[in-house]
Amino acid sequence: MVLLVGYGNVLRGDDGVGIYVVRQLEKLFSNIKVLISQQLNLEMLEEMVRFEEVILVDASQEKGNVTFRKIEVCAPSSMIASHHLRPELLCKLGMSLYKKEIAMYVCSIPAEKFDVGEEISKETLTRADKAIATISAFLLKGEKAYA
Amino acid sequence: MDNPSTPKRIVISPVTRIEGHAKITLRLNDNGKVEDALFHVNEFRGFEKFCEGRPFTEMPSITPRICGICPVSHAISSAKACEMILKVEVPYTGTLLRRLMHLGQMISSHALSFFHLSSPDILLGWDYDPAKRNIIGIAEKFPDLALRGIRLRKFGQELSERLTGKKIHTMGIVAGGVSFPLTSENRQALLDWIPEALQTTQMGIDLFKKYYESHKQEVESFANFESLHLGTVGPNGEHELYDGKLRFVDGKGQIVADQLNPRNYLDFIAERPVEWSYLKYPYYKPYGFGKGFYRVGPLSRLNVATMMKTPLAQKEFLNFKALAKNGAVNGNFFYHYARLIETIGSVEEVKMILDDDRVLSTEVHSTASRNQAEGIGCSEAPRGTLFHHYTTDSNGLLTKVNLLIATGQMNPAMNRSILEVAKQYVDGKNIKEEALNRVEAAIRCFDPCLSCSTHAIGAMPLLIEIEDSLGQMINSIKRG
Repeated sequence: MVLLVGYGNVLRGDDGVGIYVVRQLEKLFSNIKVLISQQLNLEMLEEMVRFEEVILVDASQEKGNVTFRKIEVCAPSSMIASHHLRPELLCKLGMSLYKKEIAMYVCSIPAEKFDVGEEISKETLTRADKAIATISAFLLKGEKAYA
Repeated sequence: MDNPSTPKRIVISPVTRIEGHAKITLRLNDNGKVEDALFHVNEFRGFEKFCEGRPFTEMPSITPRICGICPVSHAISSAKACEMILKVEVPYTGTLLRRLMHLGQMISSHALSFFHLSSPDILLGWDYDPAKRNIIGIAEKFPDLALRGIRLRKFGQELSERLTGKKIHTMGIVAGGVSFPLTSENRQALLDWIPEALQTTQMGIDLFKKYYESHKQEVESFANFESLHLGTVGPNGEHELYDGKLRFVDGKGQIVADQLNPRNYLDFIAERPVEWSYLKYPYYKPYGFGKGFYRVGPLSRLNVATMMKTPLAQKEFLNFKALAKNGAVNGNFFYHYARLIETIGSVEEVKMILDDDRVLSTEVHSTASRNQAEGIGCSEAPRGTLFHHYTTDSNGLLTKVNLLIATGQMNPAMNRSILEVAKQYVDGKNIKEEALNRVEAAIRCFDPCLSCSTHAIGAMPLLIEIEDSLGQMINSIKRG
């Protein structure tokens, strides 16, 4: 079973696109579990280690296309606070704390408008559809589908 | 550096393992010894300004967004201010549920502070690899403790989630009470956590005590200076986080002022801006700007309290009080111990409330209309006493907002602490990373929430720079 984690601030426009995407996927697939959050946090690890694969979905400020990549465990960083938890760090802590290598993927959706408000821009919604297609292909074939 | 008559400066930026972002400047004299220290907070947010014109009833929803660590305290202080404007009384069960969320926040915040942010120094050492002197290093070397710390924080967050549906930026605290009653299912789920939460907290306490026993001189001398202490207490002087009156004690533990109504806070607390930081300098008015600086938060709350409300916390409280050499515990390192004592007391109090069958009542909210212009609400946030003060027009729109935040009240003490620790450990001629880590640790004792205290926007990295008196950089240490 796969865990889909959509995270972001739904009150900041396009930042909520990750949550939008996982909610759409929840309607399409029965063999997934969806977790919604404002940000990644350590407490999620306990849930994550119960799944074969974990897909994180989030808005990105990078330009370009939707990307889908497997997470490699990162080198340690001294910038640890509760506000900025990178997927790589979560992976690393999963190994240290639960002795389990979590197969973690990140789907990043380029977004543009982060103004106060709940509406996702048309351009980002178009990319969200692409993200849904990419993740769906992965879930259906069990393959990595890169945009 | 070659000019013997000019002092030099060391700047630490970012200060790591704290919430929010700050910078420290250390000024050295000709002999390379620390002469002065400044704590800069460079964030600015403007909640007090942009809330003007909003209906006051929105504030318990808006102000929790000041911070993701202590949103419940903001919601509670805000709701209390609104209730003063409405002249309404919260039903008994509504108060119980608010207390539950409040205690959950204490547990969550204190767990984060000790197990994630500060334990690396204690368990791994001051000079451990900075890249791993954090939760990663703890997870590698002490995975059981790291896991327990994460789960303790999770329990604290679950108290909010099971009561309101959200872990952070709580929406369920409203003017007049709370939005949702507690179900029996959620009550039992929370009770099931208690044994583990108590055990984990006790582990933290034992860890601190072990460190203290083997590093007594260091712990006792770490940023140890007298100051006033402020906290809220119950009618008999008992430790009280949700709805107490204010008590000030001095550095010798003598009560200076007692059972002050928080609604009159402007009679005894004033603020002065300083040029090097967006964080203002509050002080106790009767003592004036210089002598009137005070500390808040766990250390101060235990200094002002006469007793705790629960047995395990009371036992540790007596040990804490025994540490007082001159009547008060003034060493900043004991903030960690005080934080753990509050945590165990909070877990015990959660159980007491959940065991009360009235906690399941559905009478949780009262309603009224605006009945007066002004409202002031106060509660203890994890970091210290928090005030929300609103003034409204006849339509209930805010004309003025004043937020006196816990961390802001510790600003002068944080500056002083940096100076004391830097004098003790920093040698300008031989600057060691572990020494600078200790300076940062002086700030971590306070567990400041800087985004909160400046009501600030966004993240600005914190940097340590060493400059000479002409402003030229001699050295710099940048983390992250």
